[in-house]
Amino acid sequence: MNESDNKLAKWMSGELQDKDLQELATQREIAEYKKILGQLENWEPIDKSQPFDIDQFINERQKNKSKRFTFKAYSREIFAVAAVLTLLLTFIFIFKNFVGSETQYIAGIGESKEFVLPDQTKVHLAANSKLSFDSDGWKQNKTVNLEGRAYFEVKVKGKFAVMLEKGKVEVLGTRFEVHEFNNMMSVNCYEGVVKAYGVNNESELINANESVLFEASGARKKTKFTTKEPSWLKGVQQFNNVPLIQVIDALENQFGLKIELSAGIDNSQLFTGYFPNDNKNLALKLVFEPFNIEFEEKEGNTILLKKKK
Amino acid sequence: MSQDPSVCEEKNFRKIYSEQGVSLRNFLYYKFGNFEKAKDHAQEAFIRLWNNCKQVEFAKARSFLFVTAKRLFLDDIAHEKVSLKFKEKQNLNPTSEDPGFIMQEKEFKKELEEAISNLPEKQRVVFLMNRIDRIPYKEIAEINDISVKTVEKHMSAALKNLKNSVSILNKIKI
Repeated sequence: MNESDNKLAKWMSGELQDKDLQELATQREIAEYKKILGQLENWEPIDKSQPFDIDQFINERQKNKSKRFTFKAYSREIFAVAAVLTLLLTFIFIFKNFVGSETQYIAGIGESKEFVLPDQTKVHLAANSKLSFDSDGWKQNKTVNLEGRAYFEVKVKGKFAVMLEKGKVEVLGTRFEVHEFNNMMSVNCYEGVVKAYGVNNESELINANESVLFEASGARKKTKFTTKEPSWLKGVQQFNNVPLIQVIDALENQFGLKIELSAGIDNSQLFTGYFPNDNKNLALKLVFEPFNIEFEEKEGNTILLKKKK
Repeated sequence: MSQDPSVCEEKNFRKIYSEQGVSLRNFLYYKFGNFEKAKDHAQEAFIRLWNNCKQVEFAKARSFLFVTAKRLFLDDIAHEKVSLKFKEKQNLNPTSEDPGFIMQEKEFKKELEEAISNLPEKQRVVFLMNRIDRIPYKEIAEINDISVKTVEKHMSAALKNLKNSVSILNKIKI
């Protein structure tokens, strides 16, 4: 009945007094109600603590602004992903160990890169060159593969080999530069001793301040020089009696050019001089003017060389 | 138009949590009888509030939380038997050493807990929200989307049921 419902509830909340209940309940009943309510007064939930850590909650929300996610709700998916990842990682691990891993360094056009090999050998990679080696097999066999030009400063004694497309250099010494271009290879030794092999696999011992040019035909030309380190390390490329073809290669790699020679230009002429790495026009002038060669800039970074009239 | 506090603002959200967090968890516990799940679903409800903070008015946040939590719980739980337990804040009769008396009080608590667990859900939830969490009838009505009269009806029915269920009352000297 509505009336009595309201009254008992109102009495419970203190809105009515005991006497207002006279018609509804006996004294005994009222006492029993009081006993029950008294017990409950003294009760509290088993765990009164906050249901969760609000600071952590807010941190999580702010981190995962776009995610809607409780661990519990997605725990099945999470464990599935973890299982797949573990499998994947296992495969990658096995793959790596059986298939081998390669470390690669690439210097783009006009760039040079400096880095250190696992045995602390410092390498300067010249423009448009690539060096790679098997990082896993490094301990057993210190060999790097080089395309282009690089200067090596070997810190630790011991055999160290640089593999080129048409040649090989073995290091017994400490500082040397290798440059492969147009099927030729030039090796400059700055310090120590270097053993180099050309196409026909005959070795050549190169001492400090000696430079050997391995030509495509198999012939070798040995010259001497006095500089302490390659000039291109300092942003300038210096050449001392170097065939024009080698200088042209250096220009192409530094400025991203394709240099074409018209008939009558002898690219075996020797060049002594330098060009800066950061100024293309000046570089071209400095190299070609001494030979009375004029250069014409064409589309697609192509330079056409013509003999001056 | 006056600016209502935004639920998306951290300090407002924290306020809502400090005011409603525990009641929400308790409410779920009273309703479904599983404490762990009550905690989880309370948190889930807050997550939903966070994600929908732009759409929920600050003043309506409490309703949103309770309604959401209820819905989440219903989706999750088949009706398990509810068995609620409570802790005593303090010993009401510290001076009494009469083992018989102590036994009786223990029994009474146990029977009362059982009787409360056996109450019909609506009565149980309303009754406990008022007696344990001390939420006034008006707010209980809002949260559960019922009228104050209905709340009062449940309160009265609950108390009467409890009185009838707890047989030990007959043995206790009142």
